[in-house]
Amino acid sequence: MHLRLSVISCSSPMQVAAPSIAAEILLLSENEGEVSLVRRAIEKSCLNVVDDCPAVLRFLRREPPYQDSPRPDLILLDLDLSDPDQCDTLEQIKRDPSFKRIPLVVLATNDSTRNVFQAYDLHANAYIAKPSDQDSFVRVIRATLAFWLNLARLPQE
Amino acid sequence: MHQRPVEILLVDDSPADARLTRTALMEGAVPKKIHVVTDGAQAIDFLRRRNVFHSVPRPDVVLLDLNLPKRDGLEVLRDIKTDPELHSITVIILTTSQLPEDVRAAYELSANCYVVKPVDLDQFYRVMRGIEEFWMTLATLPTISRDPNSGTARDDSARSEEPGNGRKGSAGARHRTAATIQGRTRRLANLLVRKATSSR
Repeated sequence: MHLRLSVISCSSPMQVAAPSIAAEILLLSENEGEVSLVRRAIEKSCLNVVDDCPAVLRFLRREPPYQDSPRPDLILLDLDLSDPDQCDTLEQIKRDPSFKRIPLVVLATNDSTRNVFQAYDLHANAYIAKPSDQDSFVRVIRATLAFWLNLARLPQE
Repeated sequence: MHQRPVEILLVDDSPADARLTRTALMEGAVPKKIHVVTDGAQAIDFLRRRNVFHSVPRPDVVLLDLNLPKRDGLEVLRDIKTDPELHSITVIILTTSQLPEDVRAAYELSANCYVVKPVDLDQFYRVMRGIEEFWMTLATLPTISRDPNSGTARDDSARSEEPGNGRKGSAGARHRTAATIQGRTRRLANLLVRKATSSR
């Protein structure tokens, strides 16, 4: 995971190029349509998908059936933070000394000021309100990956 | 989109780097106010509104260099992220250090992200644009809404561009300082070339 400054070639997030670096991404989403949109936005990276909160933790801890799971470079969680169980998952990841360093972006399904604060209070790295239409969703995912994979420096294990 | 300008606290001990960062940020379309402090102790005073900073606004984003006089960037980061009043503030580490241990330590202390300052001027501008696009356009920041006329009376009061704060540090830190100076010189040279070309 070297050589990260390989440029976001765009003047606005709406024209962002797909990220050019291969990375392991863990996505929590129970919406199959959105998962396939994320797959479309990701080029070289490897997408690992889980569809509920307990599975996120099992994946990270390499518990069955995820014994061979890779360590993600970036975690994208489609969360409704008004649900205490979903908050709890975020908190558990960010409190765990093994995973807390992995950048985690919340894709909020239920966007409210309270949820924004809650996400950052629990040390989510970033909070994004999910756009409702498909094209905007793909652009947001691309821009997010472009920022984290091409421009930011990620921790190495 | 934000109702009011994004309040940015830039913590950088190099006046030249701070000016360059400010210029690059101000080129972006998002309305913003940039406050500059030049060492870690001032950064903490600003955030806790102590002394001369009693009426400064709460920053939405802190752009934090690591190699700072008085209190280094990681100490400032720790102070912010362990203070319940401050810990939701977005902290972007913006530094020339590419040391994996610095990257790791920053994420360990809950930095929101870590960005390496490129030496090349065009790259630098591109990185600053990327920061604006992701953090100020795409992401939602934890913004406390407040009266736009209050708390901004001392905007820019923190600016002080005098060099020489008596830097002390380990050999590693001195090494990084040398790298920074070299980087600055190259960026300034690039900037001059750019200005000269564009004014023709």
